[in-house]
Amino acid sequence: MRGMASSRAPQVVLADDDVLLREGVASLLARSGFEVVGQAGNGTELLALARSARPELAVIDIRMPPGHGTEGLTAARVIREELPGTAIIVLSAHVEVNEAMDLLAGGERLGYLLKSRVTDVAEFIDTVKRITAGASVVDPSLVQELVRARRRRDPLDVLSPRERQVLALMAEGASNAGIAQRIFVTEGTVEKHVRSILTKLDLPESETDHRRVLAVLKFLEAR
Amino acid sequence: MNAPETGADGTNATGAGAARNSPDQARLRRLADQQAALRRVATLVAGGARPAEVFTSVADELGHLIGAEATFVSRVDVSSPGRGGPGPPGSPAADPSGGRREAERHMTVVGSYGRVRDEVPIGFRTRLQPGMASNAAIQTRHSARINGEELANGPFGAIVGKLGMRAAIATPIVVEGRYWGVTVAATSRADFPAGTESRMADFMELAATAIANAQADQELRELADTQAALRRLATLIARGEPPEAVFAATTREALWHFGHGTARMIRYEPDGTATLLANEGSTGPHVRAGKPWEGYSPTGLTATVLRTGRAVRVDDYRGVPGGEPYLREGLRSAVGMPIHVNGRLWGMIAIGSGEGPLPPDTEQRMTQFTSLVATAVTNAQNRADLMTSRARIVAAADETRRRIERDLHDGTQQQLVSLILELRMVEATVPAGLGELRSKLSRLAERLAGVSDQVREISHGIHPAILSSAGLRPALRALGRRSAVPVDINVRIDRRLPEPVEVGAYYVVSEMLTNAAKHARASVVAVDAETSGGTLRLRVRDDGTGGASPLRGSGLTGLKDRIEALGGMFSLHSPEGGGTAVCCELPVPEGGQPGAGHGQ
Repeated sequence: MRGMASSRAPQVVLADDDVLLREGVASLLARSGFEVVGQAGNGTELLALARSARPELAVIDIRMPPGHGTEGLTAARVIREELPGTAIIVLSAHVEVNEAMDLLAGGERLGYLLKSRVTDVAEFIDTVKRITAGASVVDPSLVQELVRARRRRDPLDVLSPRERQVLALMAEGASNAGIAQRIFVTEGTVEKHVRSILTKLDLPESETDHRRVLAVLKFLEAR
Repeated sequence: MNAPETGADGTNATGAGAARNSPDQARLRRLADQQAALRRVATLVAGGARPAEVFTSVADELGHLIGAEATFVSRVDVSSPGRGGPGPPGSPAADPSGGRREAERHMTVVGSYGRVRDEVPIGFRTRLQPGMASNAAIQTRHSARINGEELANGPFGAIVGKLGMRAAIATPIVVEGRYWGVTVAATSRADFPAGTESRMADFMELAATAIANAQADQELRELADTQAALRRLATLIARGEPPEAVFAATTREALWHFGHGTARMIRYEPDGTATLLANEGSTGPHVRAGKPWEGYSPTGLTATVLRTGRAVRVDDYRGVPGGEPYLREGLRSAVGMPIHVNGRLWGMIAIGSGEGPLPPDTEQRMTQFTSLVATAVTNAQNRADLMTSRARIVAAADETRRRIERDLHDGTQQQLVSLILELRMVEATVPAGLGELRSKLSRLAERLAGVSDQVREISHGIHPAILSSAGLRPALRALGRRSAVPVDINVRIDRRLPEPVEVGAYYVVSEMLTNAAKHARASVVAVDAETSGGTLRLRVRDDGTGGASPLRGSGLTGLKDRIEALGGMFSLHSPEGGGTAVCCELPVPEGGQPGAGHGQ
């Protein structure tokens, strides 16, 4: 589906039991060049919808009826298995690293974001587009929590402040080009930073950005 | 025995003064012998001899004094009729009187002299019947003599024949004005000489004092023993030992004090079944404590106490239909005492003996034990009720927090996000010429986003959603990451624990981290949590200033309450300048669901 003509608006399904909020997001996406092809109020409805609509993107609230637990995460796993071409964004009121890693283990084109990110419209739309284009994205606040966690013997102490910044952006799912753009350096400089970080932290070189996200998250969680 | 030999026919067998033998001299000598015999008995009593020794000594001295080949000292007791079968050799069915029987007298041999132990052992018990010298002595309150055919054809004909006895004299023993028992002397000669009755009576009158003293001592000792046992049990109960321990200890004491074979505690269940709670003694059923007590005879103690709610005794299982299993177990007699708790029949204690009927005061003496058991059960029930109600209060508080978190999350926060989104939409539709309005709307949206963040933090503090969704390990790690003080977390738990336990442990760590950062100025906190053998052990310690006290109204007080409400143990160690450590142990069911969301 990624190879489809870019002239057609990407199709989206939404799942959230809060109708007002769901409609808000739908209208936001519609105004930003997406075609909302269906909305669901729980995981079961979402799966039926996704199977029939086969959308490019699913935006899912993690907490839905009946259990108000992590139904969205479960649905995301099923969609990823049945429709690997569908990009998935899971929105949550609280971001937790185990949920992020759980989701991102599913491959690329996955996003795990705080729900309130939708209110920062421009950035949210940009993130959604990056994810549909192939990136994996983790909410910056979760990455900040992981990076800022205080440790007695902190392995991150070997990194320079700049390298820490680059590491955080790697964890958020930014590509080297994206990082270069964010910190106003050349892509070559970013590559050097990345190599240095991987060496210092003894992390393996990853073939894809999404694998890199997962590796960095794992490292940060376990440190 | 060193008692001087005195001829049965009244002649002096020692020889020296035989030639100058005169009635006065013989009387004097007999008196001297009697005095010597009494002195020896009294010396025994003064030395603290057990009653059994004293009774044997009395029988012994009496035998020598009157030249009998066999003597018996027996205790006589009166048992009210209709309490199970009488003792051997009779049986209830053989009782000719039928209908309402009079009070029965039994005698129990407590001391004997002569080669009689095989036929009539100590503890031998029999009902007093017509044709017995003892019966006559008790009835007439005077010495009674039986010999010849009358003896040979009497109730003891067989035993008398075996022992080769031809004459017997029985004399009542009166202790402190009450008919205490009877003493019997027997000889293989044709008969005792005339006047033997009065010599026996004289001796026994004086020996009664020794018996009274020995018995008083014994009663005192038994009383002291009983009191000590009751004190031990009361201590167990006051300490709040588990009921099982109290049951076992009470049953052990009951066997020690009253039983001669076995002691059992049985609980009646609301569904009509019975449970064996404790079993003590050499003989016992093949039922383990805590297991159903089944197949008991409808005429046995368990069924009868359940039916009547009263103390029940069986004097001889041979006379009880369905008593065979107890006989096979080696039991002859038993007493069952009901235990009432809050006015309801709760259970019973039964003691059994391989010998004749249990002493008549058994029921009365056991009452103290059964009331202690009732106290223990009531205490345990009250304690359990208290625990349940504490746990309920904690659960209700947790539930409230969860509901508030859900309301904030699903209501307030969602609405805020919706509002901000709408505001953003409005902002986007503002015409290009109204730049100031647009930026005002934008600032409004940002401030609302700030409120939304605050609500998120508050709701997370009220109840962390991750605890419910992923369990203790991820929740503690998240807590550690957000802590201002570095935390070393070591969690070895491979499964989900009951929610109240997870929540309790979470709050302990949370409170300790807050304390470490706010008050203790610690540089590191170590958190260890592991489950093993049905227990969650949680240890949190910091290297801060210490001096934390639950009494100073810190959040630590609430933790102790919470952990104890879950049946757990909470201890705080926080010496001034020595850091703060909290140790908790919480019971958790073994096994349980496998861990969810522990993908790390």
